[in-house]
Amino acid sequence: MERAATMSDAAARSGATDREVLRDTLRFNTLVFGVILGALASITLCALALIASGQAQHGGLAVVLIGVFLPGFSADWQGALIGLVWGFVIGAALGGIIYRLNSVHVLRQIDELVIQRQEGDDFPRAVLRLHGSSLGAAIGAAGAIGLVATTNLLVARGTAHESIRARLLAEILPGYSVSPWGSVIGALELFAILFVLCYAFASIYNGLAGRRQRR
Amino acid sequence: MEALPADRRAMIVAWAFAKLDVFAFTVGNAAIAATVLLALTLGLLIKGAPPGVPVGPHLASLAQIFPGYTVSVGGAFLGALYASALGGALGFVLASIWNFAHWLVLAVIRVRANLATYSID
Repeated sequence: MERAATMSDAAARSGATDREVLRDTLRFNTLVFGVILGALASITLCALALIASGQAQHGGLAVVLIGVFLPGFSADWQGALIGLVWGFVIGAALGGIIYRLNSVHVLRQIDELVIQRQEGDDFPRAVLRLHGSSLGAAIGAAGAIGLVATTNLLVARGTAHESIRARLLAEILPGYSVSPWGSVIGALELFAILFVLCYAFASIYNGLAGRRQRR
Repeated sequence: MEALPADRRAMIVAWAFAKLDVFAFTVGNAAIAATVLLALTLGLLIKGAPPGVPVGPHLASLAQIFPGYTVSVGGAFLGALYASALGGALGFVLASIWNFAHWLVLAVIRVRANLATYSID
């Protein structure tokens, strides 16, 4: 496509370096991924609050749990609107961080990350492959940092002893507690769990995508 | 810094605009979501609870969104089915929006480039 030709030609003419080409493409994709994740998180939180505000109060527990970490988020109209804002801010930030961390070694791995470039008279079409370790490290780090930050926010607010629901995490993360040291133990465990899950997800995705492209 | 060869630059651009395989992304998400809920439920069952105390009362409240789900062996598999449907749907939406966003940007660029080729002269 013209953009591809333009970018490549312009880069060639100006003697653009690998990092310059990569920087521009990364900036665009970070924005796209951030907006997508922000919008999804925003809609999900808003919908959850509205559903929980109904008579049946479906998902009320989830709203209470999330509300522990997001001030103002509750099962009513006002809480839903606040959830809309929180969702976008957190989702977009998370999306941006995950995409950037995931792309740290992209230049070295570029040959592994693209399946079957179909060269034609148009833009070279490609299917994305995922790098399990990078994705795992990115999402694991985002989750771990999030857990440490939110837990210590509760500690700093002085409401740690009241956070019965936050303590439920200890069921999944043995050793976790609403304390600075407990948050570090929980973060390490969460990182490991998310890393393994992301690695498994990337393996399934790459296997299926590769098989479908070979057909 | 050293300039890249043209094909390597094209490869980076191709990577930046590469599509996600929607089917593979959906299946991957569905499998992981199902595994997580299955493992959580079975984990709680193995851990157990003192006599007279219900096992996993908080996780059991998922029945509000997954009708029929319970913290039991049967419930674990039913929950896994629900989770795979939800995870798959989420994966489908994410991959579709990603592809659509890139298609849209490329379409705009193509239109602009086409317009730029027209000359008033």
